[in-house]
Amino acid sequence: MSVTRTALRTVVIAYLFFLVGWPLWMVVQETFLSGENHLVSTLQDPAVRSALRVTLAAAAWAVVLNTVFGITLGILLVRHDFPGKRLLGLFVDLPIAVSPIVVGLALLLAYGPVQGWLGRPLAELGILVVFSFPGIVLAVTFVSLPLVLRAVIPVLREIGIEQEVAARSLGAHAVQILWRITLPSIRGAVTYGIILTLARAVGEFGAVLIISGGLVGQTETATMAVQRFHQGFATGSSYAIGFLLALIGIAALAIVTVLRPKEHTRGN
Amino acid sequence: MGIEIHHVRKTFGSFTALEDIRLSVPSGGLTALLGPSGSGKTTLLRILGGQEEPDAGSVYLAGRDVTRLPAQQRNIGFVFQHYAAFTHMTVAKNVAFGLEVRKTPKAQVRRRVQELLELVQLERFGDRLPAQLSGGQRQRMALARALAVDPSVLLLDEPFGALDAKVRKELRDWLRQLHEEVHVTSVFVTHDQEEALEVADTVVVMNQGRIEQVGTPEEIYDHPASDFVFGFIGEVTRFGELRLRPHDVEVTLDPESGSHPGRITRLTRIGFEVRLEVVLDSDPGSLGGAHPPVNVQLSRTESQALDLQQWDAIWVRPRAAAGGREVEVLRVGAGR
Repeated sequence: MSVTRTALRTVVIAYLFFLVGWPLWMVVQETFLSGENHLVSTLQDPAVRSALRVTLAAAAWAVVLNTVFGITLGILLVRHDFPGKRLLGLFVDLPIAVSPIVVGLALLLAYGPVQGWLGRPLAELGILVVFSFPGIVLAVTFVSLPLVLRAVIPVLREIGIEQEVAARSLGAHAVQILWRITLPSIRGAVTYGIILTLARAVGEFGAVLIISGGLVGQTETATMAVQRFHQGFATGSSYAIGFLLALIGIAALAIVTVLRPKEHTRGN
Repeated sequence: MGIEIHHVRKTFGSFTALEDIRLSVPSGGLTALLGPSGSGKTTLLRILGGQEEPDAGSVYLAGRDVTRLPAQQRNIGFVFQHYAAFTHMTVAKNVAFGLEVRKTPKAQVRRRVQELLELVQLERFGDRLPAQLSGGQRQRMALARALAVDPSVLLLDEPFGALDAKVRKELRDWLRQLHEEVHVTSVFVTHDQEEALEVADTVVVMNQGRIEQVGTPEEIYDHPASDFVFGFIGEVTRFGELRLRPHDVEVTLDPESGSHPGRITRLTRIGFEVRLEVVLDSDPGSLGGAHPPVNVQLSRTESQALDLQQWDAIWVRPRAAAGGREVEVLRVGAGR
């Protein structure tokens, strides 16, 4: 029994080490321990600072949009019945099932200023979606669409409607019930979804690559900067930005671990 | 005043939950809606509470037609079987909820919450979360929360259903006492006849979407209006053509007038109570078919006085003052 368990544990640890731990450690090593501190020098480049700003701003937008969308749709899907409900539930999962680069192509087709049927009228109004900041927001929001929703739905199901019915019988109207009962009870799940959305949006590459155009200092995001430096043989800088991105991801995971309800282990 | 229900009907698809319900509940009383599951008692309570709308008929609470009024405007207190505690709020916040959504001044809310917590004996628990309370305490909190808004009617849906037997008994006594202090018109749903008879001053027995009988616990027990009520309100055994309570069967060692010989096939003692299963030597009636064993309920003292043992041959007869009912021949016939 315990021999198998030890063997199993060794395999898992080795797997994780060679696949995740070691490569990530190499990034850290290349950033800080290869002669100079690349992080400091890289952050002095205004184009890098711009890329980080664009990334964080787009991620913030994605968080706001997807939180509002996720909570609204979550309540709709759990509390109400309407035709096409199952189909809608499937549809909202599409963004994480489809490859981001395909998402980028699709958005380019829909919002492109020349052939996009929504892009052209918008361009005539002076609103440029593709190759500008709105396009980046659109792309990262798209790929992280269902993360808040999927975090919220099971909790909404679990708490049921009893508390809401009780609140109504005590004289509370719909808005009061939402603010005082429903939202506080799903607070943990919403935070969980927000962190996941943030991590996903910050790390997005494929969809953004296609739709943003990657203008250095304007529409270039952090992940694209990594790619640019890497291809330009400025590997130190690309490792430094890579390190920052990984740091954001690890911080997000740490917060999620603290927030997530304890998983029960069976047996001893 | 009180509650008036006029010709209320409710169906769910092809299932008739309530059929032409007419009921008048006196103001200030404590009324039990008693019935088996599917009898419509909970549906009726939910209609009173505004959680369900009747297909036809009307409902008056304290003289006001509330049939189409949403729940939050009815000024009712509702207590749920599973407490429906607001899990993220402290006990005091739970109780204050109804007052806070009515924008009551803070000082007044604090005073009223303190008052109510004392009333339900939770004054030391105001800062706790519901999860830190026992089931009985949670239900008392739910009661305080419902009473906070000075409801004209208090509705309780199986309020003791989720509690264990001992706490249940305590809380029943306590509810009875509380009602004597507060005197708010109260209706509670239960499927437990003992609970209904013990706590309520009016019992409404329901079955298959209809009201079978309305009366005081004594009236219901002593003069059941129908076979159903008789059978539901207490245990029933058959003696020839008679259906009667097991404690209304008299056991003697020698033949008496009207008694019948039999043998004790089972003897069970439960605390102070002794239950016998008696197989009669022959059918005392003329219904035909196999006569089922007669169930008898005695006190331990009675049983000891007769020195009863399993397999003893004894004589049984209905007690003189027994409130039995004739067996409905058709129903017995159809059952075989």
